[in-house]
Amino acid sequence: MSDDAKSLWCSAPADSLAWREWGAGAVVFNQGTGNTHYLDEFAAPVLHDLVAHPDGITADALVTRLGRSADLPDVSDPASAISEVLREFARLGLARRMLA
Amino acid sequence: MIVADLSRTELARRLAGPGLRLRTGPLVARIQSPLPAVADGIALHYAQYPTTTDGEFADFWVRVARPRSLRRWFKSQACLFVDGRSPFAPLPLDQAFPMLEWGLNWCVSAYCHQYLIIHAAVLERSGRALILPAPPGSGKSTLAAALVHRGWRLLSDELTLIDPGSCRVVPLPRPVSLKNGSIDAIRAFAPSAKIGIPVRDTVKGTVAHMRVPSECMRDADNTAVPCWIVFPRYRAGSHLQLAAVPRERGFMRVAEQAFNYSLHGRRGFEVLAQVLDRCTCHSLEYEDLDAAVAAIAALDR
Amino acid sequence: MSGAPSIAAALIAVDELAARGSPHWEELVRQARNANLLSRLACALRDRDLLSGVGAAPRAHLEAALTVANAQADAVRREVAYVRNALARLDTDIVLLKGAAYLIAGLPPARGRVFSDIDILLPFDRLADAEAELRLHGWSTTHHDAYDQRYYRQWMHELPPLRHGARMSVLDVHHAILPRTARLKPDSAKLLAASVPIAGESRLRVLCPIDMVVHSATHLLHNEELSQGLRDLADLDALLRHFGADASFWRELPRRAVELDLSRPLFYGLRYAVRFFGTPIPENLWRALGVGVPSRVLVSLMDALYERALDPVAALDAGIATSMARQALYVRGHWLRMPLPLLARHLCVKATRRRESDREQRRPV
Repeated sequence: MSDDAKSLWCSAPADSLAWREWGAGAVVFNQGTGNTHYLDEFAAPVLHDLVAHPDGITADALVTRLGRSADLPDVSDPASAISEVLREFARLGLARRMLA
Repeated sequence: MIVADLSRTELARRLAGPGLRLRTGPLVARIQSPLPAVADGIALHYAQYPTTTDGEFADFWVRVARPRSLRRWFKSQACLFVDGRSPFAPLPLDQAFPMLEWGLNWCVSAYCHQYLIIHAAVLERSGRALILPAPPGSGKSTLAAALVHRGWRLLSDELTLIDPGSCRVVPLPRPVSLKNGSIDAIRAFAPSAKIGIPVRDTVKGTVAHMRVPSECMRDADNTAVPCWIVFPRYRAGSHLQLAAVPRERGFMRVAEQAFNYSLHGRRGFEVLAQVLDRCTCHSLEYEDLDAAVAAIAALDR
Repeated sequence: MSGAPSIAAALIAVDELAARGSPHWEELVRQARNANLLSRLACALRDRDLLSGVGAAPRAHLEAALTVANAQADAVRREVAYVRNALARLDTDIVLLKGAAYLIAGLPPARGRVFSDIDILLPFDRLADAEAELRLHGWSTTHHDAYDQRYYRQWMHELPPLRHGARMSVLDVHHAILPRTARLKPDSAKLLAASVPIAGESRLRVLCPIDMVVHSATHLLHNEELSQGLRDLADLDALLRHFGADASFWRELPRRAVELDLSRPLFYGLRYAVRFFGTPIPENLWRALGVGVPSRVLVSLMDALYERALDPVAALDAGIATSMARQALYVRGHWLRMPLPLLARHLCVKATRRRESDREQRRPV
């Protein structure tokens, strides 16, 4: 878990992602996989942040940044929630852990 | 010229011989069949539809006839042929007209990728479209048949065509397919509805087709702007429940019903997103048709 | 060419199509759709800037076909990347065959092509490891029936097709281009040794141009499933026109075909490419094929069968004659793959199975 927290994560290339948001999460199309995904109100900002940091960002940093954001849903254990979201993104090809 | 302008003899002659070229929405099908059940079905359901000449391009050739094999002498069967292929296994002869309808749906789903195709009923009022996406069993055809008799123009009962350029709904009005209990429900709801003779023991149970009222054929070419998406669900014993659905969720549910969504790649995403931009989304659970129709009418404020 | 529409004729005379009327286009679209050549026709028109000049109604179908072909090409590219990734630990390069090869190597038959499975060629001794790695990455075998498993592993030239659990894509892993039980025995080691890397793609290779052409002809002639026959022949025609610009290609082609024991299928492949697509082939090539040329009687019989079976016009009616020609070639295709005693048993099993699975698959929606 702490390895996770320190690794750098990045999203799929920004220009391969198409977004649409109407105020309750987001739908995202990934040109790389051809798949379309629904992201809830917690996951959407995480992916946005990953896209905004093409050089990579750690899970810890994500927790800090998102903790500061007022629009986010309240989550009792943000660190776990972020880890889970990142793992799901990796499984779906929306993000990946960057190799050292 | 419309089908009703042809005498019954001439209709049968064309169907048995050179084929009848029938225009439905933007598509022309050249239909061939020596079977009386098919001629009867076309005479009833397609009376108001235009026929075209040989000089005009037909989008597909569909033939419903007995199979070309020895079995034709043992069993009375109907077979569907599309350009030499048989997409379906043969069916009993009395299912010949439903087979034609299923065949025409198959052609659209298989070939018409110039559109984004959603498995949904779609109706129109004042140029605005109500889309009812649904998996089989949701009762969308029943609801569509009811709405048709309460001031809505049918654009399609099964296949909603979205033009990717304009993101508008392109009409493809065809007979509404009713199953089992829906047949009686619609007879009770709209006694003036023209429903064909039910065909029993099909893979879907008892099936009958309801003719599209003539008023729907006026302005048959006018496209409509998507305005409401309602996910219907018929449930015996339930009270009416109409709930708002967030558009993100609505998008995913519609995409699930869009047969050729992934064929369009990124463009499909953009087109569907534009459709959702213009729409409000709702889920509707109902048992009583009158209440469902009223709830939908109330959306149009 | 006469005025009667033929998709084969249309593909080699695309410039003349713009002037054609609706009835001509109607016939052409139907033939092309049936032969899986509609997107190829659309590409050919678009490449010459002629697509916008086609009437709106037929043009809608051409554009629809392009949409499908583009989606499939994207899917094949992704799938090849997944396969390469899955086989990263295998100490051998992956030779792509057929459609995937044309696409990744940027060859003309890929333009507007309709794809289905991905075919790859690996050395026989790497097959077990490859299968293990693929399973780890989510592929599993199809054809679970013990008979079918034996059919593929023991008698054929490939693993049973592998299907990916999540993506549902199908991968055919070959160790040879013809079955072990076939009469002709092209040496896989030679094919692999002559294979060439694809520029810009690590660990991916294709057969060298001559071998690619020979394989294309062989595949067509040994395939029991001929509904794609005209499309496969169009591939061969495109390859010949592309590689044929180089004179040394024609000199080497017959020699290599003989070396691979495939001069007979090459003879027929070239013959039908000329018949249907007018492929330009140097006169002296036929002489050079020499030992591959069959007797007149046999050639006439084959001509009758193939011309009927591949005829795009006849295919639309699926009449008795086409059906019989295809049946005859179905039997022939199998005969080439398997010795007779094995054949009778296999065909019986397959014929029964085909009817059963046909019945299951073809229920209306």
